[in-house]
Amino acid sequence: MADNAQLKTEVDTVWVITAAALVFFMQAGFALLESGMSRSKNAVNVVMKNYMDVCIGSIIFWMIGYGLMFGDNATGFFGITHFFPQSLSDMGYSFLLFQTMFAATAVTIASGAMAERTRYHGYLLGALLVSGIIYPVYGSWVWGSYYDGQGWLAALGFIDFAGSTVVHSIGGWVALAGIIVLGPRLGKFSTSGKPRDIPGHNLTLVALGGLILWLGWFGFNGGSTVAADTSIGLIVLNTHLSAAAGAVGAIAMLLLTRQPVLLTQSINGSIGGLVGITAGCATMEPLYAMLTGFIAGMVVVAGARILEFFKLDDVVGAVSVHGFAGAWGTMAAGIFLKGNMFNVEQMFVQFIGVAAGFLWAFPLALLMYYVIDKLIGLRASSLDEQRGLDYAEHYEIGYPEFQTELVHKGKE
Amino acid sequence: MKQSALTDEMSRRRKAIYNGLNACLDQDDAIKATEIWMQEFSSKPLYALQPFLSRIIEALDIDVPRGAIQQHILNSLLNESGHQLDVPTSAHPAEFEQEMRKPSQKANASHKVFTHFMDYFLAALFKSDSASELSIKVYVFDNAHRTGISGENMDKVKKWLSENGQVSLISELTLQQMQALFHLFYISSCEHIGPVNTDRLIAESVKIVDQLPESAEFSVKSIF
Repeated sequence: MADNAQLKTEVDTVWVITAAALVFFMQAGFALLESGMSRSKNAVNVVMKNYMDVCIGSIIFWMIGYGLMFGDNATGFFGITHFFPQSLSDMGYSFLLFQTMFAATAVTIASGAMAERTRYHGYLLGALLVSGIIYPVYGSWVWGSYYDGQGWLAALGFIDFAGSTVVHSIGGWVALAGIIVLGPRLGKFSTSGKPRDIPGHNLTLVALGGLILWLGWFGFNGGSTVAADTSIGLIVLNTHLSAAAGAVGAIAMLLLTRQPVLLTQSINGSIGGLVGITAGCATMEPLYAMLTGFIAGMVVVAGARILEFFKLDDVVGAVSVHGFAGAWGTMAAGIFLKGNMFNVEQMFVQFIGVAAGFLWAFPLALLMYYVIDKLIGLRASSLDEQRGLDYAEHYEIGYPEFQTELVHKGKE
Repeated sequence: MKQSALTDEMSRRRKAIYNGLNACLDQDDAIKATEIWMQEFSSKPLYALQPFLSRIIEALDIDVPRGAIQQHILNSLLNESGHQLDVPTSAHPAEFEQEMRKPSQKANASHKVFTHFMDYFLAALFKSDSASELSIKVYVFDNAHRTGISGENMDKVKKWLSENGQVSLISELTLQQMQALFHLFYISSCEHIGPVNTDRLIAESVKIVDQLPESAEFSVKSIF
């Protein structure tokens, strides 16, 4: 019996660490997708932000984020133990690693939305506060019961299995605050207010990034069982179906609204599907997972138009993909709850969770970026924007061999 | 280049350029200017005349207003079916060649490169969207005080902007002032025609200006 328990722990550990590695690999997906959607003169800057998000997010989450999120949570609002964790159970280390990857994911969502005009140091300071405070405090409301106590949303019965709201919507709302404080890129909107397309420099990278994210999501959702059990099959199947339906939903929406069927929107649709199913992947039947993904894909396309209507410049569509699709997915987890579908009470709880996420993350991030902008500067100067942030912020060119004919050659 | 080596199309264009020039310049200058067009500008877009005009006004010390020369050339290009004179052979081709290769006494390499670049860029802007070109110039005119250029030079820059390329851009600008002046164009151009089109026009202009001999001494990319 004891041997069986030991074996179970070992297998669980292997699965959680494997899943953590898959979630870590999502950072590569974000880096490729975001840099591919940016102009070549900002490619290094985007990748640098993604890279440092993992580094800063991991360190800060280990220092204070983990304690705030998973420490003893008597009030239901934040944890107060397990800061700078040194000594944990065997499974505790695996859990910490897995959750660290989640924190890094939440942090990196904003980088794509804010790409091409954000100062590097201002951005990093924001990343530090997101991974240290904004993300873990909300996370404690939903998942804060690993040691002792319970988050207040969890007590209400809020369902967010792997983080449609905890990770993605929170990241999306932070991104929304960021792009409001920053303002649009130079020339994104014409003098009459009409949005202009500013295509990224490498759509192949975007596609590869999207596929890597898709793969990583199997670990993101599948690993959220924190155990190697038989439920993983349904979870990963739902994840996959929702992603596929998300792309289809995005294309359908593009066709319905007579817009060109773009690769970027299709990929964003599938990522929207992945974000959408994250909350309910363990508690939904495959048909409804597909429906959730399909609608999420449509939400992504519609959300991008809404943002443009309000003159908000989201370079990669992160607010739409993570914020709006995450909110929809969290609602869908209540609407399509297996065995208890269309339960109004559950849907109301889901709504409270979504609204609480927005009301916590958005104003705080807005204040944070505003203060950062005033103190050390968040918006890059127009001259830096003209030259590209690769050169202006890092003195390093992403494509030196191919930029000889372009605007800026590099160090001269 | 010998006449026999010219294609029919090139020959026709050369003839039209010469006739336009001959209508407002004396014959020697018209011949020399046509030679310059053949050597340096014949492969460029036909109606992007500003850089060509800058070049001949500077090289041949021409007093005729740039706008008048441009008008005559355009008339000639648009009226090829009318009677046009053949291009006479230059009386002193070797001396002329030598003269063309002499470094200018008036302006240094950076000025030439910058002037040519701005002329190409504005010509391309005008061709792309003439209304936007005017708005962009108005923006630069209104914000020129932000460039650090002052006094008489500022007056010259404003004159250059307001007289639609009929006067040459001044040669006394520092690198920082050139960068600041270009930056104003960049900002306004992004607002009016968008960053993608702006970058495209800049890249096209850079490609052309890089072929100038002066570009070996001064890279136009330094102003970006």
